[in-house]
Amino acid sequence: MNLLLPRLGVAVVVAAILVAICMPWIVPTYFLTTLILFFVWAIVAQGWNLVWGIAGVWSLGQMAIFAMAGYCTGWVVIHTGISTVGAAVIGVILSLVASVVMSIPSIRLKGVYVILFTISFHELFRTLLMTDTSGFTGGQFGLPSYEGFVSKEVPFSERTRIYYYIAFILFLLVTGIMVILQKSRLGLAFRAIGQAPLYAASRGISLFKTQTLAFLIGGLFAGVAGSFWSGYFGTMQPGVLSYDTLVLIIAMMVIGGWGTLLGPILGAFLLTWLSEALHQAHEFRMIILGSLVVIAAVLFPAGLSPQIERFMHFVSGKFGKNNQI
Amino acid sequence: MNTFVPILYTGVVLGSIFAACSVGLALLYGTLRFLNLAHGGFLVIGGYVAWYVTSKLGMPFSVGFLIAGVVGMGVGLFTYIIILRPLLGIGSPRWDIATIIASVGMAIVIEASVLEIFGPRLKSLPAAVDGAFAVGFTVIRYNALFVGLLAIGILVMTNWYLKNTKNGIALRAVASDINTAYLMGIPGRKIFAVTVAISSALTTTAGVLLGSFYFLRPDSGQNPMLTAIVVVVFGGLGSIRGAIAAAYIIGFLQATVSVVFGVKWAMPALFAFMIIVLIFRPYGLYGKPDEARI
Repeated sequence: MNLLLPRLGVAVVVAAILVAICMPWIVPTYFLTTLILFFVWAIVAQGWNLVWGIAGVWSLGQMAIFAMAGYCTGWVVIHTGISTVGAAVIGVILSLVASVVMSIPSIRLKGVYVILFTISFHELFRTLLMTDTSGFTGGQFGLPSYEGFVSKEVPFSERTRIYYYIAFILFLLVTGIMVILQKSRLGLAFRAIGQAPLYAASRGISLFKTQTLAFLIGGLFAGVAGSFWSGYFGTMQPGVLSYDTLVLIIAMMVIGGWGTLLGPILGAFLLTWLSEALHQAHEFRMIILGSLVVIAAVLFPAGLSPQIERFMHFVSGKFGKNNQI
Repeated sequence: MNTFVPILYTGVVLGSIFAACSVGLALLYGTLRFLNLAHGGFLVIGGYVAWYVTSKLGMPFSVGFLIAGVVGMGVGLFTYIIILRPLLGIGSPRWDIATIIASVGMAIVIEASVLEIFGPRLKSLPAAVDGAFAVGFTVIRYNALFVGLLAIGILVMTNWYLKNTKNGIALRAVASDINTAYLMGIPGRKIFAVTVAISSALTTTAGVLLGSFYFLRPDSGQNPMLTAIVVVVFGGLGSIRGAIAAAYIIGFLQATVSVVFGVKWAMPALFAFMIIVLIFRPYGLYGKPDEARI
């Protein structure tokens, strides 16, 4: 009875991967750039989901980590002779250090106090960055443009294709890690400290270790995405630290569904598309996005992905059991 | 004298404004456990309503102030009906997340709508009282003193309302223990609605005070909101007395940093201060952990 559901899921996943591999030969280049954005946001949302949705630490510091990795990558390329790929690795290492720095004080804090701590971390970084006039970060204009991962001499459509595959592989890796984590002891420990920290601690799960690991893995994803972002655009702007970007990614997790594997991917897919499609509507874009966040938070506090799971159960004939969440 | 007078003057005025800006937030968190991240939007609404009434309709400052308060009540009730009432009773951690996220969405809608209606250009409210005098090298505006006094007046009235009226006492009962308050026959939902309306009105009127100091922009509520959050956290979330004390401490801190090191460092100093406070006192100055409340 339960056999059809996993098979259906595997079939859908395999089909999606095949379509994604063939994509550069099917669709125009503009479409590919949107897909690259989707992969980047899905990676960020997946890392954030691990920290907030699964391990239950209400951190808003992920975008600061993202920006730090990106700025570090750009800065190293501009000021030293290291190649962009090497610089990206340094950026990711910095993001790991930043996540540890953020995680240690967060352990003593609970609930909204974590939000307040991490948002001040974010804002401290943002205000220092924006008001910098020494030329270290380029202030509100961002870093000057530099050579990305792929040389600028490669034609645009060719370059986009390469970036598309890099982003796709990173996305697959991150999703793979999340799938393995979900089944593993560590993944269960994350879920346990998120749902019942006291009980988890009394059953021998170290809160300190588990929470730091959640921050590290979440920070790793944000850092990878940030370094890729910086190397892809060949520049870094403080715009990624804006309130709008923060809300966009939170909206992805809320609309997709907290604490699920599919949720952040689904949310990132829907909102990247919506956000690009709404660019023509300028001012109304933010009004529509904001209203969607309100509606999703009020009507579906658990997000869309439980609804889809229910639908899958319905398709496979296992209707009415909504004991998944 | 050259640094002391400006610090004292700026500190008192900033402290009063911060206190006025934070009381609404502290009240909402204390009673409803609702950390309203649309607070900045409410401040902006107050400022723009007062701007419209005074500049476009040509009414005096006091009328703009009152109308901003009335509009604030409306906005508060709207928030209650749209966001809070459907989510009541879904349980603690989910309630916190859902309301915070919904308020973030609302903040975005408010900012974008204000941008759409009033445009991106800077607006400034006329001063409530004109004129100035000098102490040494410092020019002291009557407007600043008046706004400071008005803010203190609002705080005293709020405090009186919470301590002495039947509604205020019921509100504090709901804040300290909602279930027992229900058992004592206090109509919880009505109290919730009244609280949201009052705290929104407090916030929009604080926005008017803010608007007579700084320029109005669709996103000009963000920094005051972050400051208000710092104030409320520093005072212990939900403690009004703590918030007022914290507002003056932070006002003087910002004044000192601005005068000694330059205005550029005021916001970074604030966030660094908040991080340090949270590291050493994880529940703020006067706050207690939830376990200790039970």
